[in-house]
Amino acid sequence: MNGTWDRRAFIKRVALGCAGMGGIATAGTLLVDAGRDAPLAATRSSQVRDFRAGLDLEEIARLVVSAAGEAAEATRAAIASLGGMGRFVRRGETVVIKPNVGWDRTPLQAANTNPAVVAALVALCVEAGAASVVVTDNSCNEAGRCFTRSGIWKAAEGAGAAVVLPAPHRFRAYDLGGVALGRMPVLTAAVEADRFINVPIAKHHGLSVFTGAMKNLYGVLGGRRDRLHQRIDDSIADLADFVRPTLTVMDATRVLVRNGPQGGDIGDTEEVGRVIASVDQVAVDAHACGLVHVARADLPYLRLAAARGLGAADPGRVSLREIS
Amino acid sequence: MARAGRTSWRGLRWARRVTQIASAALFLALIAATASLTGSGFDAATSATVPYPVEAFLDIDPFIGALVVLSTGAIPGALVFGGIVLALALLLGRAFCGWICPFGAMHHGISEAPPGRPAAARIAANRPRAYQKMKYVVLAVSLVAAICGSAIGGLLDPISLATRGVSLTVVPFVNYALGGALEAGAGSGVGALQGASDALYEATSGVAVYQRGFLVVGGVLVAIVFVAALVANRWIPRFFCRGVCPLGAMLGTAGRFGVLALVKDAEACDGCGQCQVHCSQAAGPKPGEAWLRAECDLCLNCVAACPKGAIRFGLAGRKTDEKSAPDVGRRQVIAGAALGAAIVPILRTGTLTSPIGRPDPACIRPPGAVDEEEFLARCVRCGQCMKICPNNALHPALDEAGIEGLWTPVLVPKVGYCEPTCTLCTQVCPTAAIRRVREDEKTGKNGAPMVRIGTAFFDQGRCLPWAMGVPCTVCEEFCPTSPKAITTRETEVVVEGRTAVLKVPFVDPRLCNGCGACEHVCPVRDRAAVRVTSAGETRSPRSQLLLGGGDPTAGRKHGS
Repeated sequence: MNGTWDRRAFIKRVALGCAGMGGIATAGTLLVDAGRDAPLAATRSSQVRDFRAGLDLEEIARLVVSAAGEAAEATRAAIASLGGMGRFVRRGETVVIKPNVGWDRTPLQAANTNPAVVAALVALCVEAGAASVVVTDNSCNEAGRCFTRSGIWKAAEGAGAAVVLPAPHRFRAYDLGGVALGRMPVLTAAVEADRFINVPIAKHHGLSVFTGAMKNLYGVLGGRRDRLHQRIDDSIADLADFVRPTLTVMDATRVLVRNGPQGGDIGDTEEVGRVIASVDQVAVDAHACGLVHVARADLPYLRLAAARGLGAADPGRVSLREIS
Repeated sequence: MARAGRTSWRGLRWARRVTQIASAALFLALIAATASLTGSGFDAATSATVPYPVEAFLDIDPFIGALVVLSTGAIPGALVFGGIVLALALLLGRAFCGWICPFGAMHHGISEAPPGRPAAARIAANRPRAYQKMKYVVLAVSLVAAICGSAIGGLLDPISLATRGVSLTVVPFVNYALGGALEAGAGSGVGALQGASDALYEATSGVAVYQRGFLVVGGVLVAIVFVAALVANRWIPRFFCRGVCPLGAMLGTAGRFGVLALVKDAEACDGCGQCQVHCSQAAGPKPGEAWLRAECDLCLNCVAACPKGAIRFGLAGRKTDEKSAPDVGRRQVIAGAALGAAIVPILRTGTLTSPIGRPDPACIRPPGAVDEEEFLARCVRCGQCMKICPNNALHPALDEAGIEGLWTPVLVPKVGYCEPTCTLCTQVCPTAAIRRVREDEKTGKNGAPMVRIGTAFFDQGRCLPWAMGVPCTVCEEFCPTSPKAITTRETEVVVEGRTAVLKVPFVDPRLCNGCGACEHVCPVRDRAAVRVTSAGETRSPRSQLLLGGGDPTAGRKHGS
């Protein structure tokens, strides 16, 4: 830096600097731009998650309504009536159990799935020889508190499952290929297993009127799911189309009949004492909505789902077995 | 003889170092302990309760105790611990600063960290100087302002400043940096890196990385003060302790008639200056100069460093070569006191939002916060409530509570809402600016009157059903009260010339507790179509909205 530059040296340096910056900019543009158009241009093909591989759906197509004792006992009786968990979960398979853990509420407030039902299903999967059982959900309230206060964290781990919380890095974009829903972030732990057991709770819901099995699949999504409400019925049918569970086990031991989906007061709940199980998620909802005093006719999404061949919107078309 | 004495001083100095490090570690551990309140080890039915006294360091701080006693005239229960520390100071002066204070330990560590400076520069930096008088003025301003009703002195309290700095700037920084790195690792597509990142995420989740993130609105201002206080040590060792700290000034003043004194033997001293090189508090350790009793924090560096054994601490009365009283002029203290008396009226008449002005819509206080006038008399801005909030809902105020209310807690629903079943912030406030609230008081169950922190208002020009005829009502879904404060009515709306019937939302101000869940989840993301303001908060008569609003349960009805 001694002395001053002569004109020649100055021009040389400036030219060199410009060339350097130009080179960096060119390389950067190439690197950044590479693949810029790829994701949007990708074909919109649905990545349906079907967890029913190898099941003889004709043979087990029935709706079991179990009122056999307390929650755990009723759950075991319902699964036994469907032919036992071994029919759905084979030795060495990985299983994800998706209860409703949406809210910072205690079990008595019936905003989340009964932890005893979850624990019973975890134990049944372990007994059937599952290699691993994961319990997960993308909660609405703060997830740590939801899993704790619902009692599901303790119950699931106690029964031998791993609890996976919805951390930001645990989502990946899937193409739902639906009428209303396209590319959405999906909780990978919820959809990357051999078997998927949906374990909703029957509840009143302000907008969709009733939330049960199909609406519970909302919990596999991340991102801007607050916009689903703008086309709630199409969205619910899209979700049921995207995730086709191995089995649906609905907790209707204590149901939320008003102020759903959060409740908050035991006065909002009614004791029903039932657990409903089926491979047909549409039929489960069609049957269970009556338990929270909602008519099937008030649920457009049942018709939409049935029209897509996802199940029976009229439970009369499925053989019903009641256990007490 | 001299040799043996020097060795034992060195042992004691190690004891001081160990105590200091342990104290700082405990301080950080208590901040981390506010995080892990969920997991499979907790029962469903019980409310989350803070298992450790996470505010312990604030409880034992006699300066904070003094502020609250002077500002409210009431004596907080936890003050007894502060009283013990003050009583110890009567005997041992600023030993707390040198041995216990976690912020002091941070300053000490940074001051001593390599690279060191030449001995001559250190001697110059450690010579007693006029800036050290400043802390007595800070103390006078703070105490007189407290008498006038403001705990604003908490801004410079060392424990409060350190708690705020670590909780609201270091923790979010680590969350962002580490969380980002772990997310990148977990999404890298490289098997081993993915597994390791996910495992590390799991191990640090809720302590160092937060699932929902942890951001602090306006935290950068908090960071500037915190970092500046720490970085200043590189020019003047323990600058904050020597020049600013009002707690140090208080303990130094209290120690005026202490029992320990630095005994100097001018005959033995060869003037090597080692005591001055290592003096942490610029307290004049060298024989021949005056020992400043009110500055010395008994760190023992000087006696451990002296090669001749010319100085020692001993049980002795006042020495002739010491200055016992704080080295500050009476006029400076009187000027400080006058400023303290003036600052409260200046701040309160200069801002609309103050206990004598009008409520600010954004000044939404935590549940259990006492009325604004008393709140400003108690809140020392430590940030504990903001750190423990599991929804990241509480943030340090900028001007929402007036200039006086800088860094007091306000709810920012856009970032997080107040979970109706959560009472954590009410459990950690060291000065009862937020009084303890039970879960049923927040939800208004079991006959308890509901604690309301504000009220939601719809902006019908932005609301999807109201303004655009698009179905939505996410706000109704998330409204956590029972019965719901947000209900929907089937209403005819005209969209593109045709009439559609859809559900539009309304708020019932008698049922709304102001939690902000609706604003938080509103899909209109930039400025929500439903927003909470402080109107109707139960703590304040001047905020009341409805006639009979003093009883929030009035008009409650069940069902919908």
